Amino acid sequence: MERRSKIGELLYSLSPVLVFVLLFLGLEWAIAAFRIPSWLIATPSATLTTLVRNFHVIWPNLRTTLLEIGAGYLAGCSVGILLALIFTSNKYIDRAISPYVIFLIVTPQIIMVPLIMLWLGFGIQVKIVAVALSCFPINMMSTMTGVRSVSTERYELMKSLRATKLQTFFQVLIPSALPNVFTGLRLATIFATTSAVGAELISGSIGVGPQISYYTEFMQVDYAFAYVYLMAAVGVLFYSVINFLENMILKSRK
Amino acid sequence: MQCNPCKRKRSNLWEVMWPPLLTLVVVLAGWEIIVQAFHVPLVVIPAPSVIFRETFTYFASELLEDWLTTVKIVAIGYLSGVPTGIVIASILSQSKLLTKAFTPLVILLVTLPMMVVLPVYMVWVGYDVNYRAILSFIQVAAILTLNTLSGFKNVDQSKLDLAKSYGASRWQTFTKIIFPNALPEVFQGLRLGCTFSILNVIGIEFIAGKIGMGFSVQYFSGLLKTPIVWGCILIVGITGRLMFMIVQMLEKRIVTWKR
Amino acid sequence: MQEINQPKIRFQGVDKVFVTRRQTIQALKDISFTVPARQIVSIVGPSGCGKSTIIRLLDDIIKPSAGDIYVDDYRYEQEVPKEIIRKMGFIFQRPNLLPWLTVRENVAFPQRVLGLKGPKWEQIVDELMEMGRLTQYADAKPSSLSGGMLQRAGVLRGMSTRPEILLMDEPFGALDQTLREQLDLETLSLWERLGQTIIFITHNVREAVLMSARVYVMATQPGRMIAEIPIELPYPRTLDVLLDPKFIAYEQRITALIGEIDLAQIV
Repeated sequence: MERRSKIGELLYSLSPVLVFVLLFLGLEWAIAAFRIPSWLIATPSATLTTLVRNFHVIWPNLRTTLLEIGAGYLAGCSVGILLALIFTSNKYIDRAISPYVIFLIVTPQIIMVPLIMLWLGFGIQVKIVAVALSCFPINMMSTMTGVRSVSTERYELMKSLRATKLQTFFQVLIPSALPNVFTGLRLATIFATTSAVGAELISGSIGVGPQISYYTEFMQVDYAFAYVYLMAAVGVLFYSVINFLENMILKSRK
Repeated sequence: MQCNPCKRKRSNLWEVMWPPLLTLVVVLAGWEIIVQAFHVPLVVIPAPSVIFRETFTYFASELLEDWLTTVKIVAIGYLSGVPTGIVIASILSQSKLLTKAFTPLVILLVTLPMMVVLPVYMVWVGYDVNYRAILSFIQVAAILTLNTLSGFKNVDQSKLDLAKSYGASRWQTFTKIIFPNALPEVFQGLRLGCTFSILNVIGIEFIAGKIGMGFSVQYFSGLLKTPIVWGCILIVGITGRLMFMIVQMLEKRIVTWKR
Repeated sequence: MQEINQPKIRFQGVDKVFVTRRQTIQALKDISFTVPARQIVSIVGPSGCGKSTIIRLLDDIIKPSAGDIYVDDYRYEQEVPKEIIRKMGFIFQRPNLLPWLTVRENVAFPQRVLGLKGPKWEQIVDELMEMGRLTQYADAKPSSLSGGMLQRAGVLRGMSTRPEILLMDEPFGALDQTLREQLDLETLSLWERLGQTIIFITHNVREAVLMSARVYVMATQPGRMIAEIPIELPYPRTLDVLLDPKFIAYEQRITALIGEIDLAQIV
């Protein structure tokens, strides 16, 4: 009885891995069974083999994309949070700005890429700007929501203690808004990875996007899939890291 | 102390409306003046007046069809993805094991930058316009699944106990308690879904070409007709804002107990 | 104890008018009363009568429209000096603890804001935690505490800067009666040791009588004081006092007074 439940527990905790293994095996089998040509889809085994064997070819491109994502993310998030703090500092500015924030969020910022290219050319800076542009609205909105939701009672507490503006800002406003700030940071990871690759596909010769295009065109789909796998991993990892930080910092409050 | 609710509402609306309207006026006027005064080249940034004039002139003949296509593809992807996500979440939530097993896959689909699949995807589906909705469909469904699941998880245990004490069936508990409780998070997913469905469709249009607002931006920027490019961007933004507004209105109607 | 008759707080014909764009509300009209040092005074009245406004005026969160406020013979001016404000501790209706700080850090929070450091102040916090029986939860986060413990921590926080005056704004209003009375008695025993002057705002007549040496009854529209009732029951008080016929008589009398106001407003 004891042993069986232990096996059950093990199965339970390994179930996500099992799903992926089954998915891979299923794909592998289906591609073989239906004789899907290799220029249309690469088997997981072929993809992984290519990924491992040619990592030295893949890595420089991946590094470029990671650099774009990292730099753009940092710039976009800090600008977004900073602007939010400025805008919410005054009731009227807040009201004047906030309807347009959603406008920025629902407009996919990669649509700006052709214009950015007209201004900045074809280099890495275009992608960094595109990533930053896509990260800043969501951070701005989340932070603004966070600042607005600080309860008046907390402000009253500070007022009754005659706290300075700086004290109120650092000891009440920032910590109160932190959960919302993290929501923005977490969602921005998805915008960052998507926009980096999107901008590369539209504008460039460097990075992961053009490589995928190139290999698809020359029917070396296993290479293309290797990049897809890597970017999927990058997306999940990036999101998970921010999510982990979020839980670490906020867990003690719940 | 008595106040006329009707009158109050109207003046409140004005109070809410004037700051953003002022922003709009100031930004447009400032933009126009700077561009005119410093003779900023059209390619760098066109003046708003030029943008509006050009876009207006070209809209019916050049942009209308693109816009309708984009709207159609976004709508197909969104409207099919939303119910799919909710149904998947409802099924997964019936078993702890299923939830645990599939959550990472769902997160993978949410966080996967769909753009990386695009080139390969184009080879698979060819250039039929309607297929462009599939990527949006997948991501919207994944987002809805994730949000709905997390909404299900946050149900108050005491409410479940209450339902049990009244002898509610599993189906009743789900439809009357668990699902309504998850609604705020479902709506958060609906709002995020707006952004991502438009993002994916515009992305595909850039790559696949032929038709759509993404393609128009690409096309007109190639011709250096920047006023129309700006016009296209504005149209996409307004479309997205309207879509978002519909979701917000639905939320206000349905999730009446919040706030 | 020899200073008991010296007034600590004095309101002299205080008016407060709130002017919004559409209407003017007379929140307080001609409020005059005196609180002797080391005494507990309660203000009861229906919601909207401006009882919370009184302590907000005293804490200089808002300014009076007319009249004078004195604390220790200091008359309130446009700029109330910090030394006066620091004599006061504010205790809120809800615990209002900061969720990212531990219970002890929350209690010590006012010291941190006011820059009060050193072993002397550390010791004050430790003593308060001890008196409030929260020492074992010192390092816990507020989320792991029950409602009663949270409110107790809120009270202790109001005392951590050693204020001479405590302004309590319906501090236990959200709790059930048993818990509320328990916390009332705990506050009384803290008061007996520390001897602050307390203005206690509540809408609960029983609580007001239990706590205070004097009860002021207020009415709404405009917010004004309609009765001053000295409670002649000896301290220290215990739950037994609730059964004292004098206590019951006070309770009934004040309840009737408030009932009359309500009735007058309906008619």
